[in-house]
Amino acid sequence: MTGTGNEIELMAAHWASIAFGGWSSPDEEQNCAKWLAEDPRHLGAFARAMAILETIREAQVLEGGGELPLPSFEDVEPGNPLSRRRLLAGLVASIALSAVLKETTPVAHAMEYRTARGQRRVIELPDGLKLTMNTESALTLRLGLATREVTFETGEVVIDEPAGNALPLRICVNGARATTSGGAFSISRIHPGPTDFLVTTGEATLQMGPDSQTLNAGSLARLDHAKMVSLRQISSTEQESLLSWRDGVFRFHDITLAEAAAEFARYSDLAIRLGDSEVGALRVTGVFSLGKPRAFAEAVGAAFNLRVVHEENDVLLEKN
Amino acid sequence: MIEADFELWLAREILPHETALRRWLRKRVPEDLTMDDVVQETYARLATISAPSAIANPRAYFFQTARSVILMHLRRSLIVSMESLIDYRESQIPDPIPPADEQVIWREQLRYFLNQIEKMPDKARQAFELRVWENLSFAEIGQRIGMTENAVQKNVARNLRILSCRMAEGGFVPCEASKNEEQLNMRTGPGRDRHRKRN
Repeated sequence: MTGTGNEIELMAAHWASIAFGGWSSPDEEQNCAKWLAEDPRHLGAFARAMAILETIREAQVLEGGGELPLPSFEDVEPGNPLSRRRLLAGLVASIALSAVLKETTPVAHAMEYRTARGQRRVIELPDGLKLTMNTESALTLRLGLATREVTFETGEVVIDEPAGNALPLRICVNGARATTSGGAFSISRIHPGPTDFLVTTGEATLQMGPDSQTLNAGSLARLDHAKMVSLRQISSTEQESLLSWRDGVFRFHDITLAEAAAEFARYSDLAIRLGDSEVGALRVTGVFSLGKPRAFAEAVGAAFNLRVVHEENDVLLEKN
Repeated sequence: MIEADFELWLAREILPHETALRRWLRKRVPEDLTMDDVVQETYARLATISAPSAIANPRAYFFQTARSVILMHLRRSLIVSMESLIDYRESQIPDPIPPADEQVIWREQLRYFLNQIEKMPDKARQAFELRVWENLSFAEIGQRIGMTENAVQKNVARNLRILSCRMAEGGFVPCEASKNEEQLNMRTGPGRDRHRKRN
């Protein structure tokens, strides 16, 4: 535990006074998130301070002689979300104030991250969450008082979530939602269609509509429109191959030259063209640098006795 | 539950019962914990609920959560008597329907808050009101009232801390931790009682 109750209250007031008007920068929010993650009491004191500010904001209706907001003292219908506007209806006399309240609703800060072709990006948060994005990938990160959420959109990303965070991490992927308290996960959707969700360490609970499934290390789930279309265990060798891009290399194991050329095309504007279907059907195995298609072409050309023709925007592999 | 309503849910369904909870906890907090420890951890657990609006009786849930915080602590303690554990397990949560006077107390507490805001020195009061009620940035407030951005933020935070402390004490008792600050900040005297009781 860190800090006395009074010190915690002081810091909670500091952060709540800033957060109440909305974060002015992701850095500010991340510093607060770091403090919140240090001790559960920090989160509690912060939530309480925010609620006090909310109460005082509501109490402003006294200014106009209105009735004070009071606790409902009634059962709330399950599944009937509270609405700020509905609860304030009849309490707020001023339309202008109502507009201010609507505009200033504190929400989780959403940050979008994208990578261009050939780019890799690592995002590290103070709470230990690490996102490694591969080429042409997109995701949205939402961090809030009660939210830690990554929404995967496209490409490839590896998520490393350390154990011990007060709030579990939610990963939204292709209509499904995974929740984890620690582990490493690889998500891949390179072409339109299904998404592969791989658990490399730890575990995650995957929620798909009313169904849920716990996935352990080595589980590879294929998801399509919030449904699991397949689930299998994969070997550590296959995992290494799938994740080799993090080391800047391809680990090809007995794939066709056409498939290898398509992989290189994801990382570079320089295309590998194949002379005919027989060349495309040749099978390759080996470790190659992601961003060096010309070097790959030269190596394959030498191995299969192919002619390698280097052009400005592509490289051609054809029979001699 | 949408994110935006979370603070509102706490403000409307939980905060009004904090005074009663603290009263209930008074003889139940273990020696190696403070009241603030238990209350803060209770709020932390509430903050992780994914759908608070589905909770049928927030007041009872608030008390149950506080009790489970204490029970969890006792289970983790190296030395704890079985009697203590049994006592806590069997201790009854107060009636889920709060007494009628709880509403009145909460109403008075809110009036008291507003009165305290009115008693702040002019600049401190303006800074607090502009932040909470007009939602201006610290920079905008600073320009209006002639303070630095940093000074505005510290002022708002300090006064929030004082009000938070009052809240913990039921709203009517001076707070030990902020007595000195209060003497510096709060202005007394006639003419500033716009928020005095209307009933």
